[in-house]
Amino acid sequence: MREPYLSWPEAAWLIVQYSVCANYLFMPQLLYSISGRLSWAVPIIAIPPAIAGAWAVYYLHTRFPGERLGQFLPRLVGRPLSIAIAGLYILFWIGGSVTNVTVFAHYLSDTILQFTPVTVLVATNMLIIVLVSLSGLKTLVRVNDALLFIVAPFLLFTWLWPFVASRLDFSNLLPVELSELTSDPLRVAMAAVTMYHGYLILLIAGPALNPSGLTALTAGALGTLLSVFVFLAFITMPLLAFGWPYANLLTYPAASFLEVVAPKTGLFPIRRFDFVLTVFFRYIMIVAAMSYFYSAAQTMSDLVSPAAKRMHPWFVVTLGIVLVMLSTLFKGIRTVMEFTSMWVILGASVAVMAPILALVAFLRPDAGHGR
Amino acid sequence: MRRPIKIIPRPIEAEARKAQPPDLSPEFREPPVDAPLRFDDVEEQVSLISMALGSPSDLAVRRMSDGVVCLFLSPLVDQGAVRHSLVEPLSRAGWLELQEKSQAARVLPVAGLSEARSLEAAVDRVAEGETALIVHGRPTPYTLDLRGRVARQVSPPISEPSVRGPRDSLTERLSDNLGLVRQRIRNRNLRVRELTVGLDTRTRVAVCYFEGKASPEIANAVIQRLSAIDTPAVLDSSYLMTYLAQRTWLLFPPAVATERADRVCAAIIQGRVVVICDNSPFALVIPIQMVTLFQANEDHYSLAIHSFLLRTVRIIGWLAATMAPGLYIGIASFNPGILPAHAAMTIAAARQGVPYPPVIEVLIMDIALEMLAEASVRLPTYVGGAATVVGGLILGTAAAQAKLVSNVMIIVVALTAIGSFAIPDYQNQLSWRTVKYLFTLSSAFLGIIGLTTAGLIILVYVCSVDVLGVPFMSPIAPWRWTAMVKDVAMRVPDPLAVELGKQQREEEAEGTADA
Repeated sequence: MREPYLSWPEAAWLIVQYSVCANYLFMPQLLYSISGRLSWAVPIIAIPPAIAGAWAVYYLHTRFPGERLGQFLPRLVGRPLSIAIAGLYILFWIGGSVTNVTVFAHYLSDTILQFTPVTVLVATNMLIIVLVSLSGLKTLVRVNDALLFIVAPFLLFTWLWPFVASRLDFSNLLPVELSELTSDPLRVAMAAVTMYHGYLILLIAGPALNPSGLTALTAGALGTLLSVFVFLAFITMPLLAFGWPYANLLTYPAASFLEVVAPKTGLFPIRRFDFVLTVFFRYIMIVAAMSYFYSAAQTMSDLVSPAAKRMHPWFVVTLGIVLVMLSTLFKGIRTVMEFTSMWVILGASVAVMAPILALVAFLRPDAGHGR
Repeated sequence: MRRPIKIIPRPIEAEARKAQPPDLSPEFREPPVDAPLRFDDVEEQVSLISMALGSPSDLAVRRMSDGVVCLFLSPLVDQGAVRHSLVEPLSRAGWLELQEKSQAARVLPVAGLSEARSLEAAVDRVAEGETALIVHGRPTPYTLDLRGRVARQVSPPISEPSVRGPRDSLTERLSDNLGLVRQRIRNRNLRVRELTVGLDTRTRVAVCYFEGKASPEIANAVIQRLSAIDTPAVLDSSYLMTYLAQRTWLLFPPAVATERADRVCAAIIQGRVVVICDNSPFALVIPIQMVTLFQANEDHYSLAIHSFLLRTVRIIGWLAATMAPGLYIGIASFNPGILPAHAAMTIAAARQGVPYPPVIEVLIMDIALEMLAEASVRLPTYVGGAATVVGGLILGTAAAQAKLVSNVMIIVVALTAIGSFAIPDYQNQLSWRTVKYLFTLSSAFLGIIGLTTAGLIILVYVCSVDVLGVPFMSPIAPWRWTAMVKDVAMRVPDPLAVELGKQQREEEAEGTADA
């Protein structure tokens, strides 16, 4: 990394979008199915592990300030294990990218563009993602910065508008029955750990932080806390508006949330307001998909050639084509949503892996030398 | 690479034997009064320079006195200055008093007197418009800058008119333009570095910046990039644009081309670097950001609230100019549901009987609009007006009546045209007119989702561009909050701007220190 250019507010904003990504589409329904009415508590329960994860990434960043995951991992855990661990991260990131791009393509194909083949929509999104990756992380950060002026007003709107447009009843959150959380504790834990995974981007963007060091922790913690508000809105608003179990009756991704936000004109999903929301959702999706794709590509490139200044353009293009081909495996939005259950497991694994790596780094103080 | 000129003075051995060559040593003795003086060395230099220049018909050779000849290209030299600075002083002095430069400087009241290093250098200088003064006994001529040529007077700006503000604009003469700058910035920290670019045209280019405000790295980079240009011709400042940006394919101009002297000075004061090119009335301001292209100097002559209104109007105009046709296609072909039912019905009714899909309709009208814009620029003013009336009113109305295009389409095209005219910078206008087709075609492909896809592609492109290390999308991306508050969507009043400017410089200094 030749010049640090990523300030902590920019990094925090990147983490917000990276966390929210496709989660807004599937996380509410996933949580409703495993923790019922008490789903609203999960975004709050998920804060401590996320902060711990952010701290772990910060520690790794301070130990290896100028290096990305794929560069420091071989020295930390050895070459064979580094391939396995980096492979896990790459799988998670590729999965995230494919999920984001594909779920949205199916969503569009089901609602707005019913006569356009899904593959065309996936390829269109992938074109933008590949373009960003070819330009580099700096461009990704700038695109993310520029989208603040589109996405942040939208997120604020989704937070405030339901208070004006819908009848929100806070008694719908009650009674608090802890048994709902403990009925399937493993899945709840995995969802909670995966929810705020945005700080993981610092494993890739860390060397660009200006200044390095504590900035990583500030950005990680702030980005995570800002994401809490977003997830609270997506998960809690339908519960407030419809109560339990009605919030879970609309099984289409984000359907219940759209119902809360959109004016009551019926005709879901082809509705004017949904259209506008969809366009805004797409911006979040695209930034997240870009970040996932870039992280995966960069880590692969670093594993193969740690000293390379840039990823090889043909490698990026080929990876993009592979992902478009992978997306054809998803035959419908249901398949994508089923895949997300698996992706959540991957997310939980890589989120847990970060503190483990930090612990290894702590126990092996000599691992930082020798580059 | 400069074209080599090989000039080797011919040895005149027979003559040398007859008359002693002039002795330039301090012990030089004057020849006897009765000995006939020969000035063959002078004649030889005249003949060599003339031959090197191809013996042009406009080469003036004036024999001022015995052993002193001046030589210049008459269209490039101020005849009055020749008379005043050469003819009159030399009528009182001979070749003996011009042997040393210090002597010559006393005799000739000219600031730009220098000794050419060689005859080749003298030829180059004569070609550039200087005057060569060949003196008997000197191996190489003196050169004097007595340049003068026909030039346009300072006049109001044509391409950037304004209601308020100064009315003087740059001309084709570099010295006049530098004068306009110096008149406004009367400060010792104003730096002007002159270079010669263009292998064949040898055009003079001045790089102006304010020491202490402009980044030294950027100023040096501009000078280095200009020095490295190896193009044969630089006939206008626009030739330098791609060399300065160091990107071959550009969608947006990397520099603002302005003919307004006040805008040039404002840019210098803001810490930018200005490149003024001889023979061009447009100076280049570099580096710039996207937001700069939407600012007019007049914004600073209006109240802050008024400039906010004007900038808002420009942004709306820009959105209309680039997106209106795509939005029309998206709504008419893919997403009529985005509009209220009666509005969607109105569009559908207007399109009844139109034989093409909306995208063809848009392309026909857009291309007609481009032709009209091009014709109105190229035609003489009095014909241009008539062409606009024929194209705009008659053709548009007739096309709608003949049901070749819908009435709504005419409104969309008019909106596009008006919107593009609201974009202040002409180069920027052209860029967005080009981008409009990407939006149109993407919209024809995927409706409004296609429109947003094209928007994202353009966003990625502009975010990836750096001009001399300055992000093109700054201060929006990356965020520079102080600069954004100070002078982006709105311009804060001047006293506040000064304070914010200080804060901005501190932030930038901290950022640099951190980096």
